[in-house]
Amino acid sequence: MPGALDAVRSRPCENELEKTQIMPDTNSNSEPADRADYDVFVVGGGINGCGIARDAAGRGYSVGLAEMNDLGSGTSSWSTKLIHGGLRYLEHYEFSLVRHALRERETLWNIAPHIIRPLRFVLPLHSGLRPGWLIRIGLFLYDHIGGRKKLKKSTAIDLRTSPLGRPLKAEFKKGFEYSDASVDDVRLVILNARDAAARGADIIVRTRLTAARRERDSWSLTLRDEESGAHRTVTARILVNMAGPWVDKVIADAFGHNGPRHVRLVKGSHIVTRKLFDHDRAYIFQNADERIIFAIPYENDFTLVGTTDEDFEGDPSDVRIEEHEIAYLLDAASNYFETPLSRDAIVWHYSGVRSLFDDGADEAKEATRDYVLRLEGGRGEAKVLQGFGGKLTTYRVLAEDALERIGQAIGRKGGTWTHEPPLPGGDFPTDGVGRLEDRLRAECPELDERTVRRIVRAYGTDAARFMRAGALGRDFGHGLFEAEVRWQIENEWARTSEDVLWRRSKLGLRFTDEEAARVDAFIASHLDGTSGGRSWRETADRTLHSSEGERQRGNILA
Amino acid sequence: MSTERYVIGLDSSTQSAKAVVLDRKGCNVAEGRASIPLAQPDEAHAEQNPEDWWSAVKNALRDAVKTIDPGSIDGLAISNQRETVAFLDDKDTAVYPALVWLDCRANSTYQSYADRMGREWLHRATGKPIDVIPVIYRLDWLRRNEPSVLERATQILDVQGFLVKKLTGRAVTSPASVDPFGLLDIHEMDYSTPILNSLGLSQEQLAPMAMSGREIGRVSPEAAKKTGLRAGTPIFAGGGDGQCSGLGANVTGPGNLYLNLGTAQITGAHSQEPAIGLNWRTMTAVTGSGYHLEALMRAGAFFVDWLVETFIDESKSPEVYIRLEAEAEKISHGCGGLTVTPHILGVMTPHWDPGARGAFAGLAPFHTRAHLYRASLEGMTAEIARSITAMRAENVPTDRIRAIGGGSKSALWRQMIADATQLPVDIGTTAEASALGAGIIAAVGAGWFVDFAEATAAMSHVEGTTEPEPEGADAWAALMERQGHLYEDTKRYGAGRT
Ligand SMILES: Cc1cc2nc3c(=O)[nH]c(=O)nc-3n(C[C@H](O)[C@H](O)[C@H](O)COP(=O)(O)OP(=O)(O)OC[C@H]3O[C@@H](n4cnc5c(N)ncnc54)[C@H](O)[C@@H]3O)c2cc1C
Repeated sequence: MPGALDAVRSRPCENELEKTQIMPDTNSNSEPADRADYDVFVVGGGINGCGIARDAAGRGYSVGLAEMNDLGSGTSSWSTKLIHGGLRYLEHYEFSLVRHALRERETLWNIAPHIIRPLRFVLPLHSGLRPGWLIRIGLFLYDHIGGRKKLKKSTAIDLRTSPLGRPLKAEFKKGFEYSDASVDDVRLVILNARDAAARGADIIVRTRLTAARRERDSWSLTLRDEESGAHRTVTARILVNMAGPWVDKVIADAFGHNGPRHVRLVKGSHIVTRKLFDHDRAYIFQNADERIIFAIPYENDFTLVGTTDEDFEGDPSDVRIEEHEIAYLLDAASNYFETPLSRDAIVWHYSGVRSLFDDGADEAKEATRDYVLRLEGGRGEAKVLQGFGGKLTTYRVLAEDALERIGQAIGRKGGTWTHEPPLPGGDFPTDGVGRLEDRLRAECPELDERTVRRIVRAYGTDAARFMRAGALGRDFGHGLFEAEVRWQIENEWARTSEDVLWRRSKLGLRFTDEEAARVDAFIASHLDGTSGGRSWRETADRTLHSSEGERQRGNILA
Repeated sequence: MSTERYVIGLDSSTQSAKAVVLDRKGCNVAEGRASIPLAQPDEAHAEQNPEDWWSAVKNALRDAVKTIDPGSIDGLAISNQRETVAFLDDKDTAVYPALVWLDCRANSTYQSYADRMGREWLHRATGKPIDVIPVIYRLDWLRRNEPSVLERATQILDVQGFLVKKLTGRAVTSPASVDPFGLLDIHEMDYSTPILNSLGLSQEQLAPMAMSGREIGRVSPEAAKKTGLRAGTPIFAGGGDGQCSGLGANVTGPGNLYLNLGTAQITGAHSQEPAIGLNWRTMTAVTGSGYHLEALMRAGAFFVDWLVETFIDESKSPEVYIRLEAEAEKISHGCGGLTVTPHILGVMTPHWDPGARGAFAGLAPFHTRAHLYRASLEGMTAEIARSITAMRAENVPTDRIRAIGGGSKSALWRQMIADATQLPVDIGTTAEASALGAGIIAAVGAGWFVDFAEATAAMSHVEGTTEPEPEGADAWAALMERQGHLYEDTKRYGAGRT
């Protein structure tokens, strides 16, 4: 891209020399920029955009964020939902990547103990694949290099005698158990957005950036309301492009540039099956192609199996699982489970694409998972910060890194702060979930056990603000009450039943069309006709891409 | 043609390169060696030309595979001399002589570097007590005195990294080779950013690391021609010679200690945690799952040889030792009060005083040459036993000792060590524990064994065991106590002190 000043591969601990390659913009305090609507304008309401918005707002910048669809509707909702170091990245010498990710496990757990839970993984040894010694090294590093404090250490297990071996084929005799964490990915996005808003950021959903024009040292940005079609213009001193897999598209569409492609898209698909085993651990399976897949307890009654990993060309808004991916996942899991996995166990599936900085690595699994931040723009010109790659796990350090660059571009404000203050609802100790559940049970005795757990693990201490005795309102079924939907509309930008049932919760797995339509009708009446939001039918078609998904969407537990 | 498969353990040490071809039982079926010149223009300088490392390796490998089908070799791993560093530019040309671990040009500057970084922080991060040997102090010396070297050197490599580059075309090394440099944060197993920043180095100047046992490249057609190896032979990441010899001596997990009774002396134990202390330096193990705690005596066999050559018999012939050993055996424990510290090259653990001097205290008219000899062994034994006691105090398991190196041939010494530590002392069969360790790494990398423990069980052997005599324990405790005071009592006689 012309005028590019910097193409520094960003690692959280890069050395000082790199950082100073971008000179602070001496004009940054001149007149026009001072009159800009925002200091920082972020494109993309995924985890990275929302994480940056929160960090920036907390440092005192004025912040705007536009998300063309719902918050977290991009890659951030199609993940494996793990906060993890990535055991296998160690094999590619990615020590520092893994270390920073491992550290983040406990940092994030502390700031969001409601939506992040430690999860133990069982890794069966497979003769002929990764040898035990290599796995042991990986786990040794895993236990040691990440500053582990509260998470449990790894241990060897005898699968012949342990109940954890029972669901597996008899040939798997030895294995290891280690710790990572699971996260509700969309809620992590929402909570960051909420906290950003609480700190003064404007979170503008269903609004697309369609054009970005430099006016010397500020940006003039055209935003289109995707529901009404109306356009408006805002100005900002720096633009932050965190459009995930669309990052190139934003460059092409909004800037009108057709420069060399920065990103490679890699697709990953998951299947959700009926519960495959009866304990609370997850499995990590190695395959002959050196890839790994997970089988993770999911939403009480299900198991999440994924992921595939293949190059993707095409429109990131239209990603579907393909037949061969389903077959791959079924096969890979069946290699390990005593009872082979068949197609009719599948109740749902989803696919997402991640963007990877195109660094020329030739196989999808070899490509770096580290993120790359590039600050672009000539001297005296307004800058754009573009983000590529990243993981849910590293969003917070990515944001800190981004703020470092933003400071260089428009002048520093505040310092790093996000490692301690909790996300909304997360202001309780990591071992305090049980107490919150007790409290909710006492307040609303009509709730079933599953709902109590779900609510506390989604809202933490905030649950007490809307789950009030005698004030739950309409019952939409499956543990969803009007009070929760209202909360989501009023505090979490929910506008359709898809937002409620497939993102801010996964109750969509249990809802029938009719039940969901009732939620839509309620939302429409609640928004007083202003929503113009998509109907359940339209949104569901995007979520459940295949006809088989449609079939399965009915009350699958019935 | 035989269907037997082999691996090569390549030990690139200070004075020579040794290539040992090993079979599944750890038997040495062929070997080659070639010496490496060392320039020591004065007391403070010790330099080599990295190209000499490569020439020696080429010769050693060619000799080793002369009688072996190169196609039967499943892989090779390198054990390298540790705190030795090469400086190359983009074209792989040395921009400065390689600085060998013996080099102490940083004697006048290392303390101030440590102060600048924070002594405790530096010790904790690197696991290395403040001492002139880690390479960071020489890099700091260069930064102060020859700053252009660090700018021109686009590749700053340890010996393994350099040789792997020659063999495969790409420099890759392992934490176990980089760690002795002091550049690693041993808790993070990665280059320490504050240390790199303090030296003005960027990570691009250093080789990427892979865990020992991982394949890091294959022998290039060009290197194949020069070494006699088959092009495509896998190279597995190896490690520093100290850790490799520990592996060769069966230290793969908690409980086993090794005792290298060589020129310098190392007492090594496996520790699961990176325990930090002055009684050892903490070193990343080649097994990748733990650390070695290394207690070090700079003058080990060197001290004994100096004693014998200077006071007893210049010829240093084996008969002299046999005679001395027989005479010394008749002398009773404690040598009638004669007490020795062997710190003629300064002391590392636990005092870290490079200016320290050795001492003979408590001399009486009845003392003979054999008393000098025996008291020296007793003094060194006391040093070893105290470091093992310190390890135990850190909850490091200590079950048995494997003795290797020249000194392990002395039955008298072995018995002393067994009695003082109250641990059985096994005698290793191989003279080349570092090369064996490297071979074991290659065998694991090649998939011969499921893990390092299985590999050492198959490839590393014991010749015999010296059992401790329980009656000796109390007398040794008293002697260790007495000998332990001698350093403090004679400290004022150290070099440069008044
Ligand atoms: C299959 C798979 C599994 C994964 N599993 C894990 C895991 O277990 N753990 C982990 O840590 N990471 C995981 N990841 C990675 C992680 O999901 C992503 O790195 C992360 O979600 C990226 O977030 P983002 O904010 O950069 O992008 P996104 O979430 O894609 O957000 C970008 C947003 O920008 C919006 N947008 C685009 N263009 C415009 C525009 N013009 N105007 C306004 N808005 C726009 C989009 O609508 C979108 O919401 C996984 C990724 C995949 C694909």
